[in-house]
Amino acid sequence: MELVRTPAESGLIDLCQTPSIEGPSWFTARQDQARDEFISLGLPHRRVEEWKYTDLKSGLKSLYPKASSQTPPSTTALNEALGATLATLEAHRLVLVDGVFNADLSDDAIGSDVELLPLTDGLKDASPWLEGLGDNLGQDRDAIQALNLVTMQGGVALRLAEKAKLDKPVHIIFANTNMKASSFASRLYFDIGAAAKVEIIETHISLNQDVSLQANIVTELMIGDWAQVSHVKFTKDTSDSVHLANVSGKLGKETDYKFFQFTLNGGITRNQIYMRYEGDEAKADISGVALLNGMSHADMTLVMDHDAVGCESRELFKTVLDGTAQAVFQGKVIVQPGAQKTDGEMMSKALLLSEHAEFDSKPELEIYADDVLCGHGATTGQIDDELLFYLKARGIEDAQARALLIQAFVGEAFELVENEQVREMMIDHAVAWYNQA
Amino acid sequence: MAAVKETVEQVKDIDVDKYKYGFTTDIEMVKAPKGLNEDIVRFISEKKEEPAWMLEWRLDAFERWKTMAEPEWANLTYKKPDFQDLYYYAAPKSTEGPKSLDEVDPELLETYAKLGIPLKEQAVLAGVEGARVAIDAVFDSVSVVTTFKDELAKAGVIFCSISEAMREHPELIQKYLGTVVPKSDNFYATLNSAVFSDGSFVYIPPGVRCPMELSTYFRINEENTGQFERTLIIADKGSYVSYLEGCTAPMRDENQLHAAVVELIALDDAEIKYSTVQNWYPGDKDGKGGVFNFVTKRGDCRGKNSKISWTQVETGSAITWKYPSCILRGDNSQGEFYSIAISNGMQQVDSGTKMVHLGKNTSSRIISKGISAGKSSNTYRGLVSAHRKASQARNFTQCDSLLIGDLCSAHTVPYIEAKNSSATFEHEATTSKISDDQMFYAQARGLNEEEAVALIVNGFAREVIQQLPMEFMAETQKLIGISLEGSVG
Amino acid sequence: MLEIKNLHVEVEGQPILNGIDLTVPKGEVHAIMGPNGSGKSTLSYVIAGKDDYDITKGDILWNGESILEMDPAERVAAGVFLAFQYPIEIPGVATMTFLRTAINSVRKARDEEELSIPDMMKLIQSQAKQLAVKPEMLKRGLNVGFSGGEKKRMEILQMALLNPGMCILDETDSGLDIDALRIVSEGVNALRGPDRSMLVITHYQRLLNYIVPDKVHVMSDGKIVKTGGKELALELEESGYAEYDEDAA
Repeated sequence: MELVRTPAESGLIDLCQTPSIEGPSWFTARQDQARDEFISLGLPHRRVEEWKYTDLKSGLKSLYPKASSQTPPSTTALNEALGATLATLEAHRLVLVDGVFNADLSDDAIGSDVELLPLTDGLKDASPWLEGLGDNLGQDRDAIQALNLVTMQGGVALRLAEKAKLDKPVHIIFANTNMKASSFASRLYFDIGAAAKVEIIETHISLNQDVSLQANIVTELMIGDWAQVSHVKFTKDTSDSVHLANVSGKLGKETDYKFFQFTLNGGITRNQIYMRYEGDEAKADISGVALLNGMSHADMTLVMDHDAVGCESRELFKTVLDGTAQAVFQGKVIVQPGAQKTDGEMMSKALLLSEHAEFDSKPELEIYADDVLCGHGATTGQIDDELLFYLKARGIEDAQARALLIQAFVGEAFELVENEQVREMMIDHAVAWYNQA
Repeated sequence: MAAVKETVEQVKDIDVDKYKYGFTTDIEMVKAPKGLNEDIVRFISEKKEEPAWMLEWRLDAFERWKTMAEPEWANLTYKKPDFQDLYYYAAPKSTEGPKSLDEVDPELLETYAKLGIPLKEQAVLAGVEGARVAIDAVFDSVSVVTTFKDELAKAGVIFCSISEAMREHPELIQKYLGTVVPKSDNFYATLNSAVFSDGSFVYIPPGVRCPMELSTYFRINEENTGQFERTLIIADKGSYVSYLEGCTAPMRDENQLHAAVVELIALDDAEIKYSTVQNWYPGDKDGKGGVFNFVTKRGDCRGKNSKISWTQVETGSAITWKYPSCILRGDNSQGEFYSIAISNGMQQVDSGTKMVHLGKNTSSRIISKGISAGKSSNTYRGLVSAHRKASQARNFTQCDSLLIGDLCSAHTVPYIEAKNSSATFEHEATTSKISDDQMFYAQARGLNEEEAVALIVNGFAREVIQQLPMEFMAETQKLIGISLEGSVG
Repeated sequence: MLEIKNLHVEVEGQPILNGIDLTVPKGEVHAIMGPNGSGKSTLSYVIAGKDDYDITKGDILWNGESILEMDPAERVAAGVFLAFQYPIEIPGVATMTFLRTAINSVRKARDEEELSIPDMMKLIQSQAKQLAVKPEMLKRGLNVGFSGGEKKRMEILQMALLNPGMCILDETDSGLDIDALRIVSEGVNALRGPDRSMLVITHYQRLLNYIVPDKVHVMSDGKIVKTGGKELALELEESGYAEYDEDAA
């Protein structure tokens, strides 16, 4: 069937013709393949099963101009945009200005056993540990990941040596400096050595308030045996923004990976997660909170692909919807043949506050081994009248009682954020949101 | 413990041969030529002495079908049937002309007797004494006999073949046929609309509680013959009917095609309970032969306070593609789906339900128990949706899979769409295996491995078995044992 | 003073209360006894302002003013408090947070100054100690993982903290063993005073040994059928409800 190209799609195809960064031949070959893939697939739409509820062909109305690197912000301006908690967060900072790594604003000394490469130079030098980049763990790429590989303007790669332990978390800041709506594609690549331990905090901010963004961010994690990684991500975009993020990870033996996503409003947000269990007895805990109002659309799509024995996956998502917001949860647990003793539990709960909010969920199981214990649950509902009456019968007025119950609903998920400062910061944002709901 | 013991006894009684309905009947048949074209559609319509509008309806469906492609979204892999290499009409010669029990070919009566289906009106079914069930027996393309018609007629209930209904009650057919499953609904349903040859028709008048269970028994006998039956059940205001469907086919090396359409309509305060025990020939252990079962079943809770309940036991067929659904249109209407789907050998099942909440204060319940064994693949696919105006919609879904052996697979693909804030949806799914503790316990009480498995699986599926009419319960428990033979050890 | 006048209440068209007349003067403790299904709990919910009940006739006055149009929170601010028979569990809301929110909401509604966090903590901790509510309980989710006795003590703690003029205790004794019953009753008795009225709803006389009422009313089929002094409770203990309960016969 002949594809009808939307203007945004045509613009993206044009962008694909001139990649922003160069690299060694293996990289160029992957880019060429990705370009072909994007051109043949086009923007995902509702007839593509994985994108059934998030139609970018109709959602991405027009393409914002590519972010041009402005004068980098001062540290003061950056701190102001981060807000008090994040500005004072004890962490090694890595700052990406409009998707491109900025050394001046970043910590240069993270640790003796940590290697840091801006993706532009790193690729030119063809560091051998980067060779997994863009390989997508051998999986088929989807259109958005393919697009990222061709159009990425920069990013950062981090390598932790065996047993490396950092004294502080790594705070990755995506800072947008454009005055007008713009788009960028960027990539993070982590090679985490055996038994290393790291805490990643990823935040997205705009130096100029209310500037809309179209971001395409791909994160790749190669997690070595016994390594422990905690990864927390926070976005609060404008209602005209599009945030497309892809996190894929390879889990070695007895690894422990934790990911937490907090989505506050935004335009179209899609977080797509793919975890492959390659080593026995690996654990991953993927969870998050989304608080959405207005016309926000947030999609959490994840695949937990168990291909080793005795692994564990835990997912817990809490979504609260107000206005005409729409949320999507698609979670698939795959247990490959031979992946015996897999233990998987997935739970997605939504609370609908307004009549026209919508929640679509598709929790899937795909099981090819018999000795497994897998389950999922999904609930949709509104605030419980019994609970509301009990609070009111204690003198708490309606709005406050509702705010308390929303807080109670999402609280369980926030507890999974281990960094206390970050958790408090998120809860503060959340409380402000409940009080407006 | 009594129930457990009883099950064990039943399991012991099971014959060792795998599929006991695999015999063929030798009988003289009238067939249309092989292949599908407009002439065949006209031939079928003519054979049935249908009114002109019915022929138009069929031809329109056929035109649309030619532009459609077979759906590929299901989790099924099979060689697509060659639709030109099939017979679309096959009827025992003796069925031409008027039918009454005395006139039915003794060969056919014997066939049904062998299947355990009583066509005598003093029926005793599956050992339950005094249980009377009116039966419409469909043999390949035609209905051969319908029992208890007179007694049902006294209550005002119409129970006959759909061909007869088209002649005798055209106003009901014209009013309701294709209103739940439109003639161009999907590839198989559209094909069925063009070539359906028979099936059952039920009409329960207002306020009538149907005095006995109604049942249709489908038998595919001929080689290379597609069975396309169409069932239409209308429960008028305040009425109630319980309907059972059973199916078997001989063991043949070629795949046989079955593409049925079932439409249920429940008006205000009416209730329809539809139970199926599907035991088509599943093919041999290497996946040779077996029935391809592509069925569209849908119920429309058209009136307020109406209720439609589907219960299915799916044990047969090589390929199952089937989603008995409920459109909850009337306010306060209720939909239910209870399912046991067992796959063994090389069988592939992709089955589930859709609960579409349109009216206010509607509720639905889904209990699905999938059991995979051998090298089979078993998928639950479901949709629960509440539309904008479906305030206070409620759904509870429990979807459990049990895997026996490490060469089979189980899939759960639920779609849950809430477009109304007052919707309350709860969905739970689990996957597990038969625990070693349970097996050991059962074996320590003297059960052999297969008996123990049958016992535990019956326990696993208990919630669904309990929904079946009495007549089917015991039979189903036995069938579960048979279906799982060879799955252990 | 609480005055209930000719109160008729229906649920989904089904009459539950059929003309209740009851007055609890300031400073008095009244008990309502009655068989199951007589409408005791409905009465308590209607006073507290729960939805789902249709008041078809009559009125409820607190200190001379009708409270029927008030929402539940306003009734608490006005001084009418209900201790639930089955306190609700709310995982995710820490008990301490809940208590602070409730106290300050009520103070705000009463035009009293909100309490600072240290003052609040002092107040809560001192009251908690009197009711043997352990500090760990205050950290947990509201009523989550509490025993039956702990839940009831938590109800009385809330009652004490919110300083109501009218306390309604709905089956406070249900599910309590004798020790728990004593602790809860002591807590309630400590709150008795000349400015505070109480309405104690119970099925059994046992509770009234600890919380001695000024008057006892017997309720049956949605009506008060007999009123007497505290000795009426003892009579009931002897004879049972049979003479009041048509269905039991």
